[in-house]
Amino acid sequence: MNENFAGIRKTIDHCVACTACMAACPVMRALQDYRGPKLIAPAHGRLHFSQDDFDRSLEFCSNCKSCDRACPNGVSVSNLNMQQRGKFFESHKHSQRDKILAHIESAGKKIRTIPFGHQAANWGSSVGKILGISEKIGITAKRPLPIYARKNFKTLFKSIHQQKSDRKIVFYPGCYINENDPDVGIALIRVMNANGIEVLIDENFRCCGSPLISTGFMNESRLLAENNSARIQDWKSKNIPVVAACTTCSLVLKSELAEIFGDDRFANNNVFDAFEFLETIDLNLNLASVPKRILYHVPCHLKSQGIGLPAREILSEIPDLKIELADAGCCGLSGNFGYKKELYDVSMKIGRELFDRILSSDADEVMSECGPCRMQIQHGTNREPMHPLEILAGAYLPN
Amino acid sequence: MRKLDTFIIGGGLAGLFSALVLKSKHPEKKIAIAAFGAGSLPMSSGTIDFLSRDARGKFLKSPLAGIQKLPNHHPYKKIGIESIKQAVEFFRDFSAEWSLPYDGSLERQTPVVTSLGTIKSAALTQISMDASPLKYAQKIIVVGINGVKDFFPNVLVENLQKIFPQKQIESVNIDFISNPRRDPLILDIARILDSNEGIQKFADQLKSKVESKTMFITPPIFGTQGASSHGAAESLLESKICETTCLPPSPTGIRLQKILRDSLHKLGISILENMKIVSSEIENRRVKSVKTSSGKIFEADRFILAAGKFFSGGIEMNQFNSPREPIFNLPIFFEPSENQWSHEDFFMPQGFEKTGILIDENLKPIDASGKLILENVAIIGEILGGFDFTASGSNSGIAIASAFKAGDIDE
Ligand code: SF4
Ligand code: SF4
Repeated sequence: MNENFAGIRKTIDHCVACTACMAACPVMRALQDYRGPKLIAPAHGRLHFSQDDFDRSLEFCSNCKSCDRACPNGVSVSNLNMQQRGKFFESHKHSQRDKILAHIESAGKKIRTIPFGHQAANWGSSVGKILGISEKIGITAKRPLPIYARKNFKTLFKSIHQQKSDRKIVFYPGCYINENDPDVGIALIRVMNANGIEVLIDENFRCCGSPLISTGFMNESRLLAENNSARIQDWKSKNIPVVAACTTCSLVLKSELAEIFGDDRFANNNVFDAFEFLETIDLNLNLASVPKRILYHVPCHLKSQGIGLPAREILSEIPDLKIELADAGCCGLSGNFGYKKELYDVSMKIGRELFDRILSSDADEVMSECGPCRMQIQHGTNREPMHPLEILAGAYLPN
Repeated sequence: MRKLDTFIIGGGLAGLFSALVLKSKHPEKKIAIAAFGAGSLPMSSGTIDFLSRDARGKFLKSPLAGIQKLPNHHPYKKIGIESIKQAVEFFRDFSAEWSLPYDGSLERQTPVVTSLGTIKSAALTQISMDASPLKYAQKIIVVGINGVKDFFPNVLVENLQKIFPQKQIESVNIDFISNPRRDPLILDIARILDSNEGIQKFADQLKSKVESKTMFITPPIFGTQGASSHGAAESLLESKICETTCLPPSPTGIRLQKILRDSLHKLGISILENMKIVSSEIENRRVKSVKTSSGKIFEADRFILAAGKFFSGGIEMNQFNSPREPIFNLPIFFEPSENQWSHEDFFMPQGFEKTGILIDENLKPIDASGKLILENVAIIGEILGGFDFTASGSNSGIAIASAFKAGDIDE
C-alpha cells in the first residue's frame, strides 16, 4: 500500500492482545451482549476465519472504528469485523431490513422517479409504503427517517452559475448530501468559488458503499469500489482533486475499501475532506465577523482519517468565532446501525454523553461534518446542527 | 495548519503530561499532540514507579536515594534531581486537582497488591490502591465478582496469607451482572460503579461482612473517572478498601488517562487522533516540519518525541540487529551482541530493553560520542535509551520526569 493515505492498516498478525480496542469500543460499553473487538476480530480472525463459525454478537459492531484508533499496532479491527460479516453472508441470506438499509442510494433514486415522491417520502408512514420500511421488518419507528430534499443536489447543481476557472475540484456529494442535505453542497460551491475554484461534479460516481459494507454486501460494494476508484484515478490524471464533505464517504474512498479488499487500487490519495483540501490552498481570508460560539462534535470517521481537525483550523480564521470541542465520544448512530430496531436503545445510550454535553452547553450553534451525526444530535437534543461548510460559506462576504 | 510552537509526537503518558506541563507553564504556546493508538495507559495500573530496584536487582526503599546513586549518563541524572522533585509535585497537584489524588513520595515506596495477591511497590499510587493500611487490618476480605474471569480471589487469599500469616483472610463473591452473555471485564464492573446505584449495590452486598478493623481488597472496580466512587464505597461500608492491579484493560490506568485528556481539553490542546508521523524535514540540525502517513505536514519551532519504543513503533526493529527511529532517523543506543539479551532473570537489566535514544541535559538527542544531533527536539519517555526501565521499575517515573522537564524548559 502506498505511504500516502491515511492509516496504514495491518493485519491481525500484528495484534498483541493488549485490549486497548476493547476499552475504546462504545458498543461494548453500552451493551453487555457484545463480546467486543478483540474477542471478535483478532481472535476470530486468527482461529476461525475460514470456518463457518460466526459469533452472532458480531452483529453489534457499528463500524465506528474507535477500536482501530485505539490500537497501538494499526490493526484494523473494524474492517476485520466487516470482512467477517461479509463472509457470513456468503452462505446466509440477508433480511429484508438489511437489504433496504444497505441500498439507500437506490432508494433515493426510486423516490425521485415518483412525482412528488420526496413529499410522499417525508409524510410519515408513506415513506414506509414507498420503501417498504416498517417496524415489522426491524427498522425502528422511534427515530425519524432522513428527510428528502425538494430537489436533490445534482439537480440544483445544474442551475448554479459559476465563474470558469483553471483551478477545479470535483465534488463528491455522497448519498446524504445529494438527497437529504443539498444545502451543504451549495455551501461548498460558495466556499470554493470564493477561493477562485470551480466545482465540477461527476455523474458517474456512485455511492461510496459504506452502507453496503456495514451490512455485509461485499460483492456489490466491490463493484462500487471498482467504479469509483476508476473515476478518482481518471480525475487524478487530469490533476483535479476529488473533494467530499461527508467524512464517511471520504474515509471509505481514501482507505477503507483498500483495507477491506486488500486491494491497493482502492487506496486513493486524490480524495480530500473539504477542509483538508482548504488547508492546502492559499485561503481567501476576506471573512466577515461571525460572533458566535460553536460546539463542535468531531465525527468518528474524521478522527480515523488521521488528518487532525482541519475544519477547526480553517474556521478559526473567521473573526470573533469561537469553537469548542464537544469531546464526548461517538454519537451512536453510525450510519444505519441506530435504525435497526433492536439497536435503537444502544444507539441512544452511546449518544447520551454527547447529548448531555450539548444540552448543557450554551453555545450558539452545534456543528459536525457527518450527516448521520447531525441527525442523531437533532434526534437526541432537538438542536439542529450545521455543517462547518455552512458556517464558512456564511462568513464569505457577498461581493 | 498554522505553524505551531510545539508539536508533540505520542499520546501516551509522557506525551500527554509534557503537553500539560508546557501549557500550564507557557499558556501562550500553541501546541498539538499527534497520537497513534491509545497509548499504554489503558493497559497500565496507573501507578508511578520512579525506581524500585538498583542495578543488581536489589529492592530500593527510597527511589530518591537510588536515583542519586545512578551513573551520570542515566536519563534521570540528565534530567536532574531538582526537576524530578518538581515533576512529582506537579503530578501530585494535578492529580489532586482533578479528583484522582495520588499517595506517596520520592523518598519511600507505597505498597500495591497485584492481581495475584503479591505486593509490588511504586512511589506514587492512586489512593484507592495504597495497600499500606493493610497492616492495621485484623480481617481482610478479598472480593471477587461472579462471572469475572480475570480475578482469582482464592489465589489472592493464599498469597496474602503468606505475607500476613497472623491475619484472618477470606474471600467472598458478589454479583453485578446477572446472566452475562459474555464474560464481564473488570472494566465493565468499573463502569457500573461510575454510578451511585452501582456503588450502593456493591456496599449492600458487603455490609453484613464488616466487623471491626475489616479491610476489603477488590479488583480495580471503582469507576473510570476520579476517586469519588472509591471514597463513597468506603464511607458506605465504613471500612478501608484497597484496589489491586489487574490484567488489561485496566480501569486505574484509564482513570489517569481520562484526567490527562480532560485537563488538556480544558486547556484547549488538541489530541490529533490516529495520526502516524512518518518522516521529517531537517535543516542545519533543526527540524522544520514532520509529515503524517496521509501526507499532511506540521511545522513547529520545537518537537517533543514521546513515541514509545518497540510496542508502539517509536523504534522499529525490522531486522534483528538494526533498530531504527523512523521519524528523525536518530542514532540509537543498542547492545549488538546477542548474548547480552534476554537475561533469564526478568528483573536483571535486559540488553534489548536498553535500546533507545541518548540525550543531553536538555533532553536533546546526542550520539554515542556525545555530539548533539538535533537542536529543537526533546526526547522523552520510554524511547530513552541506555537503561532498562522495566527491570529497574522506573518506566512511568522516567515518563513523568522527562515530560515535566521537556515542558518546563521550553525554549
Ligand atoms: S468498529 Fe466500533 S463498534 Fe465495532 S468493534 Fe470497533 S469500536 Fe466496537
Ligand atoms: S488494540 Fe490492536 S493490538 Fe491491542 S488487542 Fe486490539 S487489535 Fe490487538
